[in-house]
Amino acid sequence: MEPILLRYERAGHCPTLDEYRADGGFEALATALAGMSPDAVQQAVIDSGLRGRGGAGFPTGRKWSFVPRNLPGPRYLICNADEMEPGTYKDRVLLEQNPWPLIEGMALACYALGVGHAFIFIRRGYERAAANLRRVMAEARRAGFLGENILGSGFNLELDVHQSAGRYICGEETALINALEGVRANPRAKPPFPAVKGLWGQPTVVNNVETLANIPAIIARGPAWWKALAATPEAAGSKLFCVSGHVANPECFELPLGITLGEIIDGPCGGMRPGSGFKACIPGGASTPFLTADHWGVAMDFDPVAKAGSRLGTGGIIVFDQNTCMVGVTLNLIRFFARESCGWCTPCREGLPFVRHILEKIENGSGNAGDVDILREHVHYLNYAFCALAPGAMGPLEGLLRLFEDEVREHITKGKCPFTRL
Amino acid sequence: MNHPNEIKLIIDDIPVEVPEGTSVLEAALSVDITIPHFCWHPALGKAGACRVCAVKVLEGSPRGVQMSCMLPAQDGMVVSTTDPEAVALRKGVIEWLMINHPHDCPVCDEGGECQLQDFTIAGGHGLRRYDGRKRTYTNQYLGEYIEHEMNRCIQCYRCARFYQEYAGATDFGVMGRGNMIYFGRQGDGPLESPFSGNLVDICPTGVFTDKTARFRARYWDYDLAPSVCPHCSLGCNITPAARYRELLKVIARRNDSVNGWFICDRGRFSNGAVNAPERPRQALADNRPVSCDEAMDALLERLTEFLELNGPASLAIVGSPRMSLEGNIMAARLRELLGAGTLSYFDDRLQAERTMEAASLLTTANAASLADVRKADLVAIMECDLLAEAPMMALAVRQAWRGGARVYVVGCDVPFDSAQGTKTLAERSRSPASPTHPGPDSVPPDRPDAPRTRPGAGCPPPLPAPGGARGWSGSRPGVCSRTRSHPATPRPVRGSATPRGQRCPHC
Repeated sequence: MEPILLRYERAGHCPTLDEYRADGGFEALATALAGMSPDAVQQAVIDSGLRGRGGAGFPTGRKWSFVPRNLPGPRYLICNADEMEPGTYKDRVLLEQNPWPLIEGMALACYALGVGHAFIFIRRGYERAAANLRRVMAEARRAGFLGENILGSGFNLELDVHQSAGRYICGEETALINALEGVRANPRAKPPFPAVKGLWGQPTVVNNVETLANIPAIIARGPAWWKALAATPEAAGSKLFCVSGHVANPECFELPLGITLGEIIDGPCGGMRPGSGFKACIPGGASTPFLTADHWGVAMDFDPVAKAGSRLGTGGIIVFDQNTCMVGVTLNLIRFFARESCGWCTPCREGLPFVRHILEKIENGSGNAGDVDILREHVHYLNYAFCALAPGAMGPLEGLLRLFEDEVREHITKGKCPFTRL
Repeated sequence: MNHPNEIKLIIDDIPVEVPEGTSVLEAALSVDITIPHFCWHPALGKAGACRVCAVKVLEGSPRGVQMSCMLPAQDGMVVSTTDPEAVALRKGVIEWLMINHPHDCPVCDEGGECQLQDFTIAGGHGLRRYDGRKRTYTNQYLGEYIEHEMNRCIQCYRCARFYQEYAGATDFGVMGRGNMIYFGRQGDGPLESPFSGNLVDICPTGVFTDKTARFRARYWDYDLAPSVCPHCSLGCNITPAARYRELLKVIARRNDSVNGWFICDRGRFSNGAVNAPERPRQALADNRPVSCDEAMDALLERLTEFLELNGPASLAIVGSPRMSLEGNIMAARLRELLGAGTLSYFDDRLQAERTMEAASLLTTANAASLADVRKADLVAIMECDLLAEAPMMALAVRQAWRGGARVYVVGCDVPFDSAQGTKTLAERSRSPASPTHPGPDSVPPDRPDAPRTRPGAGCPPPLPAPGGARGWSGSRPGVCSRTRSHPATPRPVRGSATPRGQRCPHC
């Protein structure tokens, strides 16, 4: 498959506007503004089968269609670049190496949705990406692709970059909206959904960086062409997979959606590190349950991975070899989630530290058999949290108890971690 | 009341009818089914934070275990509050809440009147399975009236929501994240809101307790009597709590058409005069201690003698605007019985005339209760510093304003934020006295240190709105736009026209 988003990949180099335009950049925007109605753009996105790349995999076109038509007052588009899911760094690669499709995609999305003011909400830690984004946006504005009367079409778009103070919860779209408004980043109750009542009470669409960056290709080359990029007929388009862990070549790759796990690891990743054997992996960022060698042939697409008991999530694959203690892995992730809970609802605020405490006990060899039951209870009850943070945090724990219960019990019976710590 | 959209649902086999928009939790409470709840409060509404109000929806949508405070009641819904799944979740939530709770009930003033105690016992949580270290906090000094004990906190967010959203003050709120969130101020210091005492009532456990009554009594020790606050003319309902014939504290008493759930700090903490040792506690006749009956007999005798000698026209009965309504009604009745010539409530002719004028405008048709004010869509305040004269009215106006009402303040010396109840104590105490407004200095002497009734706290000069207050809009009227946009004014002045002592030069 020819890469779409990462086609200019050269270490440390971000293409200039001329390079991007020489390769067909901003042609999609010109086409849409000249000859397509906003509805036609939205329909193309619906037809392409594009699903949100931020983790939940919600169909993007459907999300757009929830925005009420003919409602007076402004509406907003927010690009969620608050990428804080451990193991996920695809948006950073995209923002540092080729932010042009994002700018063009946002312009197209704003045209489709009737948005005049859009925001890019970027994580505090992504200083370099934010600087690059600002530079590129200034260039785009000078060339008339942002600002007033874009390409002489009468379409205006203000685009702002907001560097957040930085918390994992800001990736949750309603918490993100609160943070952007300048109040505590606690999630809001849904309904009303942001598409109806979001930023400053106005209809708001929040999309991931990669989701928006895919839109120019959909418009320029047609939804059918884009959909056919995928490896299976059910999947649609390409996907950035960012791999880390015990593989030979941990990098961010653009691959067809629906490619199997084995193909990713044996192919671009160059297999496991010498001396390492595949034990398990997290398929899509820290909040997804583990996949094991049994899932080698699972197509990396939203539904097949869900069928395998996990989630495709963000496509941030973390690979573990046979010497990895899965209790330790889970504990590490739970520590992150417990730290990043916003503190709004009881299950997340109190339940995650409880889970962390029990996993610490087990990992340190002072766990007891009853602890496994407490963990199981938490996997169930944390689903009743206010937002998706706590249920997501239970992903790896659920995977641990389902796939590696023997390993957990070994910790308890031996009274220590059976793996040598390096 | 007749509601066009009445919802019929079944909760625990009991048919319930509620107006549309009612939550399942409220519907259950309306038929005396108690579902444990912490973050939900009738005056503050839902938050969905504590997750303890779980019920199971057997029929209707969405099915399964749901949070009843967040779930609107729908026609045909069948809900069980006793379903084992919901009960188990509630028990789990209580266990979480009790993980870090210090279990210091024996030395906690809330013990015996603690919602957390009640729901913990009711939920069946008895044994702590968590065996790690508990989270601990450093407490803050929040002034002379409120004791802060953060270790007891169960993070229901009621305090922060009341303080910031309902009462509009900004010096107290929630900080931090995860399980280390902290409810307090940036640093030690007295709470600035004139409604801060409500934190004591609204906290479901013992984080905020009444410092003035600390360690004096348990709930069951108190002599409680439903009463009406004497400190202004609004008549907020209170419950004074006394022990051994000493008034220890005052608790807000719910009355939806008057004060709702809250009272102001003046009403709550200005009770020093009641216990003052100088107060006559023994009836005297000719400086001789007598029984009450004897004293009354002596009074009657002297009055009869006086009337026979001078005639009823020479007798004046004097009430007071600071006296209770009952007392003043009794004064009028006494005048009637004795046929006295004069009945006076005021020491100042102007005040009397103004009051008569204002009272003559009131009819049973146009008199608005505080509840009406809270729901008003337009409020005009004439020459009145609400926060100084009737604080709970300012809080009611704020609720109207939060609901979208337009608020007009007429009068050049009246600060607009006073009408909102958001002027902070610190700002008020910085302000010099206004000669035109006596303020509440005619209130009977309370604690000598009570800052809210100190002379001259009446009418401060206009100050810019508290920084960071949400929802402030410079376009809200209080003065005309010409005044506001005066080019010589260094910054827009909210509400009041000009610094005190000057008049608007525009018309």
